Amino acid sequence: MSKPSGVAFRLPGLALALTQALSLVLSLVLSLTPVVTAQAAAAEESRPGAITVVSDDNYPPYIFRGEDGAIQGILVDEWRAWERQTGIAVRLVATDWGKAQQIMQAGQADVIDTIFHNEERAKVYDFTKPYATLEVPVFVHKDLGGITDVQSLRGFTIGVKAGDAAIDVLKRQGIHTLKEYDSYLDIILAAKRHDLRVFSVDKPPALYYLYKLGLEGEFRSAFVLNTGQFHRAVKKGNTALLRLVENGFAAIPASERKAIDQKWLGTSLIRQEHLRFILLAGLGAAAVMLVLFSFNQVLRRKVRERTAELAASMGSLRESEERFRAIFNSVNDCIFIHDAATGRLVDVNSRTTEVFGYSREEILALDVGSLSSGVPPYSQQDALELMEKTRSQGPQSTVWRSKRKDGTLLWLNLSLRLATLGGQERVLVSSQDITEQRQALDRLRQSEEKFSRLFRLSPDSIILSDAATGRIVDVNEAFASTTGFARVEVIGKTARELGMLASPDALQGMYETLAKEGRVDNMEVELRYKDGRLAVCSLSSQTVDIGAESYRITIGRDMTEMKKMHEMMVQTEKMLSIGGIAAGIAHEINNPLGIVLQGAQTLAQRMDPKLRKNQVAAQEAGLDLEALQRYATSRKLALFLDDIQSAALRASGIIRNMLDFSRRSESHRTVCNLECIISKAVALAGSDYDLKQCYDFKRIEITRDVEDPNLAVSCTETEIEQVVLNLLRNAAQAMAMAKPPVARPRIHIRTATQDDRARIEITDNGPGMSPEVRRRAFEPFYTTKAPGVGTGLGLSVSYFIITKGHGGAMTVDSRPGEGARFVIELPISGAGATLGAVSKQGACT
Amino acid sequence: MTTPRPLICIIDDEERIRGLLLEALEDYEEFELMSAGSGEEGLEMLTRTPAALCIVDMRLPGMSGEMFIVAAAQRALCGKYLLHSGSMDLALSEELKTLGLTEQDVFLKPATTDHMVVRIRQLLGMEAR
Repeated sequence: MSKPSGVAFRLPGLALALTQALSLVLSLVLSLTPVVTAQAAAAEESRPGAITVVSDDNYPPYIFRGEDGAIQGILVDEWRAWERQTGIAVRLVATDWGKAQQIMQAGQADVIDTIFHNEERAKVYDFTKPYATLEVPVFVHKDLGGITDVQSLRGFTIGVKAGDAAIDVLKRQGIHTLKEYDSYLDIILAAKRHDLRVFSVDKPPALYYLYKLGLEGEFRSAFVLNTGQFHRAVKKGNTALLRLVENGFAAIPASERKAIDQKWLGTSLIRQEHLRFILLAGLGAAAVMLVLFSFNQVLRRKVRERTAELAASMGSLRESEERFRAIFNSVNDCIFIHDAATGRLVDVNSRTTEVFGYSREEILALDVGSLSSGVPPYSQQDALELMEKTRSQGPQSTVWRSKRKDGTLLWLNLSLRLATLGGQERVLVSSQDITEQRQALDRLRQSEEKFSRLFRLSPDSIILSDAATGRIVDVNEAFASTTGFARVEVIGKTARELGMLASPDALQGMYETLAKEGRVDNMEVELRYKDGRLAVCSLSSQTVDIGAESYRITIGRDMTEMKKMHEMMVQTEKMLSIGGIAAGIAHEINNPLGIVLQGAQTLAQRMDPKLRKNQVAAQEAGLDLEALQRYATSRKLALFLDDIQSAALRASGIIRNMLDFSRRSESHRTVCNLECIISKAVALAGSDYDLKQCYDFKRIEITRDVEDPNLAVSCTETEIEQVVLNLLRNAAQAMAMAKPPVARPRIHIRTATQDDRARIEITDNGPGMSPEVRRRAFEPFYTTKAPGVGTGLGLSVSYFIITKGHGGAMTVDSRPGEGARFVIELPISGAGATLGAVSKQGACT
Repeated sequence: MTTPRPLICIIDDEERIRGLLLEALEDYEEFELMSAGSGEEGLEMLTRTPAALCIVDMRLPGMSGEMFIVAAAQRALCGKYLLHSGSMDLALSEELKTLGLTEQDVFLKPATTDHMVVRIRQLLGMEAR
């Protein structure tokens, strides 16, 4: 039996195979056992074919290893006898005690042997009657004095075996400084290395190993901690097996049992007892001799013994004191001991002096206030209150702002507790330096603050949405102000639900790229804002994991203005080059146009019957001028001549407008009164020849809203005048063309300052523009007027003058049926200083 | 009794411009007219017969219209000048302004003869007929 089980815990796989093979063999053997046994078995209700028994290992002389590593001892022999009595095969597994209990609890064994009874175990096991009584002493090194009971073990590290019953006994009495070992042998080996000076090992194995390792003289049994009895136990409730085990052992004949005891106890323990007996006998004899020889000597010896005992006791006390002092000074925490009544510092450990930079003496002379920031809630008064609270309400813990000798501050995490030391009531304060954690926390908070500010204040729209559903989790202020959607109305919704998609698949491309590449950079998408406006937005998006959730961060920038500007710039460039060419060819084209115009004029003039020279020439040629006049009228010759003239003028007008692009603006830059310029433009509009042709400007009601009549800007006066005139003309023409006609045509001109810009708003109540027209309003050669009425250059030239020439801005806002508002913004900077000079001149000249 | 008509000299390198202007002004029967194809030729003519007014093209082969006016004014060969120009680049210069020319004396081609005559009469102190 012992052979295979010995192998069992070294090579589990092989052991299992062997055990199975063995069980098979045994069951075969069993099937051939006498009929009597078989009948008895039948009466025993469900007898197992084999059982597994676990026990402690290395517990001589009960169970331990021989030279060959196989298990041997009393239990091995007894279980072998049991096997013979019951006919049930036994697999005996000896292993470290902690592990043995685990195996049993895991249900991998049927019986556990070498087990003491206690309350905990009684809950899970049913026990057999005890079969052996064992002492569990505490062994101490021979040099250690003063250990006589459990309480005197305080402060010592005590070696115990994992899972041993002694652990409970010690812990119940408040001894927690235990060091657990896997086996008794490990404990004795540790003792031999001087790692352990106190340990608790069951007496039989202790004596066995101490003797074996030559330590029997080094350690002594100080007192008996516990007396235990060996039982065998089965899983709670398995009474059939319990009975089977009990009966099996009861059936072993007394002679056989005695032989087993003789065999094992006779070889080791008995010899040990012999030795001790001889030793005691010798000592006894010596004592008797001493008594006999000299009573005086006995007395003297007694005095010496007492003295030695006292010295030992003193030494032990000193040792204990030193030990606690060492612990006190070597811990990483700062420890303060205060007098509970006065709050005065009584002691600090060396860590405290290191952290605070004071010597111990210096620190003890200070009050807590001086060791603190001193600012409430970290003042002397607060400290006293905290200690009082500890006295009245029990242990306290808090964070404290302390101050070092060099004035630097630190954060301490304090635990306060009341204690009686040397009969005095003290407040013990232990504390850890948490300055770095606090700083790290602060940095984290700052970083969080920084990023949240970045999120909130970003000029670009930022949208945080759930990656899976596309539902918006958060948006920043820029998003709200750009799109017109408030934060609360978008959270939990998708862009589609908000109606932001200009087309159903507007974001399709973005999602596809995101799925493929994980990110999208500057993808242009057309989106609809809350007010229905369509906007081109450049979106950059990325999927990120925040915690366990997967989010999509999308940053959007409204590109509508920029795109418009860009298009305008391209157009402007074009116009500039056209202007450059125009300047070169204008002269060449204007000369032939001059001839055409002049020719047509002269032709008309020479058909005029009122002109004397014509009359003379006609008379000489025998022509009736009146008849010619009638002929010309009937054949519409005058109309044709007019056509030629107006066509020539139109062509030259286009060239003149084109030339405007190439004019330099900076040359005539002066500080001008804006109101004067506008007034002049309004006056010019009233006398505008082109305008008169289709509309009477005087019918339009012009209203002015002037914030500051002295508002001055640095500009080229004639150019701004031209721009304002262009806008007035544009408004007038638009209202003239309106169908049905505008009942009370009105143009409102408002000037104001906004930041450092002067703002001119020119609003009409005309027919307004469609989005298409509005988008193209500033585009060169784009016109809605009848051919010949407008060149499509007026607004583009104006735009060019304001933006390129003056660094300003020009926008238009209009919807069909709601009139149009043009807004011009010009920088004021540099103009303010000379404002007074201009207004003093009162110069609207 | 007839007062002598003022002499007007037209300087333009393009013959048809010159010719048409001569024809158109002639019909008014208010002016004596002569013309030259260049500034140099014009100065030569004026040296022989000073004029009351010159209508000058700005862009001319050889000496420019501006140089012609300056030269003529220095030698007091003519009292008044109208600029007749094909492009804005050659508008009124500072020097011409010191000679008394104003924006009203600049006529951009193609110009209407009627407008030009109105200005000529103003400059020469003539009454419209």
